[in-house]
Order: sequence, then structure tokens, then C-alpha cells
Amino acid sequence: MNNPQPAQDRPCTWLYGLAAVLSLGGLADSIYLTVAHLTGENVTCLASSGCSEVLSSAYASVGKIPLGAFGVLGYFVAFSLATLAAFGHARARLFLIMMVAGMLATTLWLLYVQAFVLHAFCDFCLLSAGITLSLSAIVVTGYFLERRPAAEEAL
Amino acid sequence: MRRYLPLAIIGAVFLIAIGSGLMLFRSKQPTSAPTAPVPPIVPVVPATPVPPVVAATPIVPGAQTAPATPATPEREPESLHVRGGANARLTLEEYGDFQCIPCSKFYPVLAKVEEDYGDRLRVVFRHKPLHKHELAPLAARAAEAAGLQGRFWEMHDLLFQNSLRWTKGVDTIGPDATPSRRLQSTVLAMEIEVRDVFASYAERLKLDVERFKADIDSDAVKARVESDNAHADTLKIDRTPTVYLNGRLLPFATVSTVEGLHREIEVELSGKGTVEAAPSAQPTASEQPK
Repeated sequence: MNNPQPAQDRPCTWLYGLAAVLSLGGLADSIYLTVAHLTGENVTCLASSGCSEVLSSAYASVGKIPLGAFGVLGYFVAFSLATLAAFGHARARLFLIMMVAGMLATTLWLLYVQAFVLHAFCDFCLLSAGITLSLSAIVVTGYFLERRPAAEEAL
Repeated sequence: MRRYLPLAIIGAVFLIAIGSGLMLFRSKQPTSAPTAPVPPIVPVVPATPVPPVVAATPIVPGAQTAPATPATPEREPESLHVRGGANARLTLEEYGDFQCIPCSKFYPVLAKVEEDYGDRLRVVFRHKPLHKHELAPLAARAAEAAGLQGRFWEMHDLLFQNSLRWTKGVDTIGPDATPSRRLQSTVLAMEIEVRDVFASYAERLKLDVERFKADIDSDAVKARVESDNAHADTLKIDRTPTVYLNGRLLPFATVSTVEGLHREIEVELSGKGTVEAAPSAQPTASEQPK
């Protein structure tokens, strides 16, 4: 409590804190999918019926590396950056935006593959997509919240 | 203090993620003993070696059937489904589910390995239809019903080669279906449709189709599938394919490629397998593990 955040930064702190929590959810999801891939477990879908099709398709791995492993890496980096951003590291916020943009692009590609190539959806992949979309909304909101005071000062 | 707090949080999450991942990985490994399943039934009569049908020819009901091989005499259901060399040093035992996609991906891997090793390899197939696969028990019974007419392995091959088609009802709607009907076929096919597809496979194999349709629901066939399933349960097998080589449980990553399976077989042939030859590897079966 030695360096209290300026009043205008507090919403951003909460936003990045929320991003960190969401990233933890994505991390858990990705860890599960990676382990399921490595052990050959038939993943059970709760809401859809296409988990097996999606997770055993050619798109489920890059070479011998399961796609979930990239998710683990991506969500861990996103969590780290969001945590640093929540503690006021300006550069971390910039890297977080770049990271989430990359994750969003990957997510959109994977959604396209599920919808139009495989014609099957996987709950766990949709959960990950939802988390990434939420992260995108958060970083965009954070970006504009940070810019607003500067714009007001310029006036 | 505040300066290091985020790093401490990140470090803690890193350790928790690694730890939970490893724990999850260990918990997902089959809990059965590494020694293999032992065929519970006494005389293991190796079936006539039948080369696996490798070419995955999609089957369409009503299409011209391929010329069948000479019909084998009718016989009682085999106590154990075995093919390959009767005196082979290597016994590969698969617990499979016809609706399981990893199993259908393992099928060509095993077919290639069977081709490569010929009579040096004996393959045993056991049913483990998973609860979440609604059509798997029916498919297992179809294979058994074909087995009553001496065509278990041929039906086994057809079911795996076409699993993505019959599970989605593609074989039911035919190749000329409209795109909208094909789109609908991305959902699971109705059991009644799948029964028709299986009957078309029986026809292709020159089976007595009426008898096949009756056998598929017979108590004997149901009991045969349940027997394998119960045996798998005693081994706490909860995923498919679960594969044992001379009693040694092979990791899924190993059996997913021809190279990986070759490597394990060579290890076994060189005598460097980590487990002593299990009873199931012997030409005659012994007792079930307690």
C-alpha cells in the first residue's frame, strides 16, 4: 500500500485482474486438453457431440505437439502479462494487447475450422474461444479507459 | 514488497500449473496393472490368418458388392478373436470401440504393422464399447453377429474403415444426397439407420442377412460383447484403444503411429521389454488375474 494507484487507474487494475482470472480458466482448460491428447482419453462433451471429431482431427496438433500445449503457453503468458498490467506495468499492457490479438486470430481460425471444415464443435474449444473473446473485450476496454484521461488532459 | 508480488503470483501459478498438469496426467493413465489382460477362456483357437482389408472402400447401400472370398463354414462364436501367426512370439491385444475415433485411427496403423510382421504377430481384439458412444454396443454386436457366420474380422475391418460414415449416417443417405441432407448427417445417425448400414455390410460380406439381423439382438451375442466389456472393467480400462503387447501396456502416443508401434515391437523382439512375457502372450491362455 506504499504506492496507491491513481484513481483513474483503478478500473484498469480491476479489468486486468479479471483478465488474469480468465486466463487461469483458459490455462486449466488447455492443460486438460493437452493431457487428454497425450493420454488418448476420449474427451466427453457436455453440450455438443463433436469433441472426438475435433480433438482427434489433423487440426488438433501441430506436428507432434498438441494444440492444447500452445494454449497452455498462450494462457500462461497472458496471465503473466495481465498480472503485471494489473500491478501497473505499462509495457505489460502493450504486450498483453499484442498477445491477445494473436490469440484472437488463432481462435477465429479454429472456430472457422470447426464450423466449416470439421462440421463439429468441441465444448472445451468453445470455452477457450469464449475466454479469448472475453480477454479481447477486456484489453480493448482497458486500452480506451487508459486513453481517455490523456485525451481529456489534451483538451 | 509490492514490486515482487506479481512475480511471486506468476511463479506460484507456474508451479501450480506444472504440478496439476503432472497430477492430471498420472491420474489419466490406466490404473490397471502393467501386466496384460489374460484371456479368460480356455482354448485359444487362432483364426485362420486373414489379411487385414487395408483399402478403405466406402460402402454405399445398394452398391455392387465386391466378390466375396469363399465362405467359411459356420461355427460357434470364437472364444477369442485372434488373427495372425498361431505361434507368433508377439501378441498384441486391443480393447477397442468401433465408434471411437482414436480406434479408427489406430486401425490403419495396426493393419500396416500386421502386414509388416506377418505371422510373427498375433492380434487379439476385445470389445470395450464406451458408455458415451451410443452406437458402439450395436457395432460390437454387428461384429459378433458376423462372427457367428465366420466373418468377425471382415466385419471388424469394415466397421473401422467406415466408422466416420456410419456414425454420421453418410452411408444411409448415399453419395448423391443433397448438401442440406449431408449437413444434417453431421449429427449422429439414428440407430435404425445404422442397422441398415450394418445389414448392407453383411450383404457385402455375403452373409445370411436375415440371420445376421436376428443375431445382432440375440442373447448370445449380447453376452459375448458383455463378457469382453466386463473383462475390460476388471482391468479398469476406461479408454480406447487400450493396447497391450505381450502383456505390456503401450502408451497411447506409441500406438498412434506405425513408427512408434514398430519401435515397441522391436524392443519386445530384442528381449528388452520392461515386463516379462505375460500369460496372454503364450499360445494357450491361462487363468484370469485375481
